[in-house]
Amino acid sequence: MQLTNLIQLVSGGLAMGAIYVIVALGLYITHLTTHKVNFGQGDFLMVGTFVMLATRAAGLPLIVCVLLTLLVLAVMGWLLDRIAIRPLERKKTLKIGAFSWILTTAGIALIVQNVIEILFGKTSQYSPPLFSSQRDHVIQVMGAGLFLEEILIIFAAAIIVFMFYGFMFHTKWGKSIQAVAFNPEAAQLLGINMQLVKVGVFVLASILAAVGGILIGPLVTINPHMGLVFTIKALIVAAIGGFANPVGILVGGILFGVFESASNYIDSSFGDLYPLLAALLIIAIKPSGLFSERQADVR
Amino acid sequence: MFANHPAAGVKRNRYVYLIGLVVMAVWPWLPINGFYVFLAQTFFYTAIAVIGLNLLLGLSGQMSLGQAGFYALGAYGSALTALKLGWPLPLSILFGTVIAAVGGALVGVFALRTRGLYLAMTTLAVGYVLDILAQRWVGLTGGTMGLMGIPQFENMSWIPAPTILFYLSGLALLFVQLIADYINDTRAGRNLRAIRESEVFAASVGVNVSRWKAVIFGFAAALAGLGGTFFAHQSGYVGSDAFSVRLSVALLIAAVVGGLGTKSGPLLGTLILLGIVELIAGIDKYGLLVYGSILLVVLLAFPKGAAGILDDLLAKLGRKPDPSRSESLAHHDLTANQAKAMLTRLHNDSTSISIKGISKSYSGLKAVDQVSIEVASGRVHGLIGPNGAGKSTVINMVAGIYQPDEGSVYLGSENLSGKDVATRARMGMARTFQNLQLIEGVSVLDNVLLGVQSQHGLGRNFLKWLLGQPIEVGERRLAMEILAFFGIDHLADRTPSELPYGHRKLLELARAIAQQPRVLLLDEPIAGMNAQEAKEIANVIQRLKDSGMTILLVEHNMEFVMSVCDRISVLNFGKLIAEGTPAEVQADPEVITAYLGTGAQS
Amino acid sequence: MIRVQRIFAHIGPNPILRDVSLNADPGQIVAVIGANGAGKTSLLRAISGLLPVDSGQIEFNGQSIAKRPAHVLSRMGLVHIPQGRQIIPGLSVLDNMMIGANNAGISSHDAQTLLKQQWERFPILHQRQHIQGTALSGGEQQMLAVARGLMMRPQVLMLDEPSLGLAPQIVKLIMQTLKQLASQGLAIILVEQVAMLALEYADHAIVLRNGECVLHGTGQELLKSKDLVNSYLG
Repeated sequence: MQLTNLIQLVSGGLAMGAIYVIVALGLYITHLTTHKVNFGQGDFLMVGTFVMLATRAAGLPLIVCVLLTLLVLAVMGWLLDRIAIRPLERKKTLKIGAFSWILTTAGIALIVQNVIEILFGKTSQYSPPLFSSQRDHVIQVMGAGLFLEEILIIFAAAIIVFMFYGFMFHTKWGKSIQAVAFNPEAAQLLGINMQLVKVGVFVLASILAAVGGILIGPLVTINPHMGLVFTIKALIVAAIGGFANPVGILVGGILFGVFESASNYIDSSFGDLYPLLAALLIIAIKPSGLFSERQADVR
Repeated sequence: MFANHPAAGVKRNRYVYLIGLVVMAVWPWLPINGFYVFLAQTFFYTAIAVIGLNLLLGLSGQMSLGQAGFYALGAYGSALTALKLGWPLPLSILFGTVIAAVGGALVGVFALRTRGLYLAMTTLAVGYVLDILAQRWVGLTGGTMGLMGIPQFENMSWIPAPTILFYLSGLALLFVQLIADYINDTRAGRNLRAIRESEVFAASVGVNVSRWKAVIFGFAAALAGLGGTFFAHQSGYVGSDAFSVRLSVALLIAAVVGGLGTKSGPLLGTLILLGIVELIAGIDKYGLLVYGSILLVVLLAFPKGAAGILDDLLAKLGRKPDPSRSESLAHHDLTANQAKAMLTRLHNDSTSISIKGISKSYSGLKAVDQVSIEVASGRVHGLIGPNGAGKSTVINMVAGIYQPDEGSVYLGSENLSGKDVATRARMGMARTFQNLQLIEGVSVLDNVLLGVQSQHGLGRNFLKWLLGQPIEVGERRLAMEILAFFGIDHLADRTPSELPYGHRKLLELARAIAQQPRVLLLDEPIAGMNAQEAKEIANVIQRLKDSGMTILLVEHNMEFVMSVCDRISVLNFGKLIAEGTPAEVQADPEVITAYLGTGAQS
Repeated sequence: MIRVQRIFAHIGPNPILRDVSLNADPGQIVAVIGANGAGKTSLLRAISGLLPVDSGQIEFNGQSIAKRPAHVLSRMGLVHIPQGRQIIPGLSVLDNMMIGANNAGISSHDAQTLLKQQWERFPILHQRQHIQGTALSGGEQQMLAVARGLMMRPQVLMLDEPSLGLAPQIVKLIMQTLKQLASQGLAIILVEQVAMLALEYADHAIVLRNGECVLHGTGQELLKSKDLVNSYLG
């Protein structure tokens, strides 16, 4: 493999990896605070791509499109909590026990997929680039031809991840989330409205999915059924970080993205399966993730 | 009839199944469109897969989002061996089922270390990977274009081919349903339900959780695979489109809508699912919307599913559930002597518990520091101490939930080091839990039966069960006697949720006794009980002691502890600070200081 | 001030509080003592809104508060410092200090004033304000928990076993701080298992056993009472 190929490969991997991280962080914060995740997180990302597509096609300025996408998904996050999560907290005697939320969020995912399919059709489409004038605008970096879009997306993603950490550790809301995640009762005694935080994290997670959708649109072809694979990858990336360690998720996601890129290069027909299998193996061997400490697993 | 009432053998459902058999026999010969035979075939093999999922998710509480993958393994396994290797169909079908079972067992092994979310995620990913493989490994599977010309059944003299498949799949369904009913009714079902409640709890009654999980995974996958094989040979064509996550979702919907954990749920659910599929056939583009909405509606509004609704309807119409065969066993009103005799007969040789210098640290903090306790055989030994003293940690180390950092625990003369919870249970250690672990959805009697050792193997009982003969007679009689000892045998048919709290505690104790333990660990046996109830439990413990049982208990209630225990060990800050008779401990200045602080006078 | 009248509460199927009453006036330290499992923590949780009450009355400054959510009550000045310190990991000492004040809507000016008061009371916290809260020693963490609660401008302060696991000097410091706060007009409810300690400082005390109040009196009365040990170990 030549150096130029390597650079292209890494660039692509970084871009995808960064997006996986952003989507996985959404799963991370809901799991941290409520021990539940949205099994339609990838489908929410998909909605983000389509809202961007539609608003851009309508000729609205970029910033408006972005804001609209974030807004639509924020509302969806709120609805998800109201419909699929909150009602279950009252019914503790379901046969499946503690995990019916997996099926209710999956149910919402199916509905969402169908709605988008009805509105936009089944076939794959191209989403316009965010930063450059055309999708395949190439620039030369160290002799390798890289997609400008990709590079700028990497930067945007890095900034967003940075902002996320800033949010979690330096804002009132972020600290409240950590307090609720640590001990919901102690948090309430400190004046934190626990219910609001629990809804808030689902809204935030959906916003992160929206961001993922905005960033990924220009890099792939979009279709209403692209969500599942993103849900799976986001879950896996979050799991590599043990669902508890944001730095672990960051590193895990980047590694996953680059590994995926490399493995697609080597084997274009089955390459995308290897990272999944490798990650599943890691999770099976060390369920607490690559970076966390083992915890006593007593139910 | 529809939900969870245990039946003696297959008696009650016998009539339903007989009717079903008759209908099945004549169905293909009715003057109706051949399409209905096709539809019935689809019902049969889909129901088989749903039964598997119901056992996995409904009974054992293991969430699988990827059953379509195992279905695919069965379909391709059977199709390819028949098509490319020319195997006779029954052999191909067997092969497909086995391949799927192996796949399931493998996932089951991986699933051992995960639960809930991780399990769902892993099965989702596995299903996805298999789907992609089916799509892209065109050389093997034909991809989306599919495999054509898969051998089907041939006409046999006057029986047309579709009818053969019809009967075969129908009989397979009947057989599978019977097995599922049998599992529901017997030890296997109880064990799986215990696993669903809590794996630690299941282990504490001696269930080898890992093995059961792997087996049930494999079995559910086998059933999905079996369904897949019939699917493959039904039309002679499989395309990879059939095995997407949409299929996994459809199977889940059938299981949930029908009623998870019930006997008739899978059949009802598959009927409903096929009904929906037919209804939306014309408007297929709304398919996912319909699926998703149904899932939501059922989970939020009708969590018991169709089987539960039917049950409630029947109850309203005044149909009482069948009397349990427990009525056929005479009520025992045990006199004190009879009770003592039973208990003495019941429990294995009691033995001692020796805790020698155990310690446990968590993140630098020493929760338990070199604690030694000798519980003599046949004695009741109490463990008390202020908040945070380390009592639960000690009990959990004795039970095997944690391994001590140093020191060991002996059951009699056997060292328990390294032995897990289930092994200790099988060695004769029974326990109750602070938060009261019971299986909610089954009867009181079944809860006690969970503790009882089987007298005959599962296989041997099957034939008897099939013929409607009573099974597990010895075990049931024992369980009833135990319930009588506790004075709650009249509640044998109720479910735990119908019982007042005091009786639930007694039930848990009954289950522990049913394990015929050599030692008994009680974790806060009278927590939350009023004075009267506490006296009853104290009474029971006294009788247990009279029969020679060794008991180690943790309690906060001093009056209780002082009246019931022979000896008491007192912990504070992880260390043993006193040991002796109740009177000695009550007067011990160190104990008083530990509880009340310096300067308290007795 | 707090008026608790004949409350009953349960957790799951267990009745955890049976006919318990308690009053705490401004300037008073009221101790709630008893062996573990007696219901002391549940009493505090019932007052602070974490545990729903089946029957009976709870009044805070004359207002009935039985149905109010816990976070609202804490913002109103009913501060409950729970057992086990509960220092939030990932946040610094300063962050932990400020979190209550920030959520109680206290202006940043007032918050700064309050902060200075806590630095004076607990200089060691001031020194170590930027390190991780969980890196403090046990005693320092308890001080942090108390300071954090005080940052919410409480009128009623409830503490659950603040002395658990602490060295005697630190316990003394905390008790003296409580005495000082009482003299400044706070009503203080102190839950302790280690009875003697609490009784020394308490104006009034009740002893719980199995969810019921079995003894009450002034701190001094109970200190000398022969029934006290019995109520624990009898």
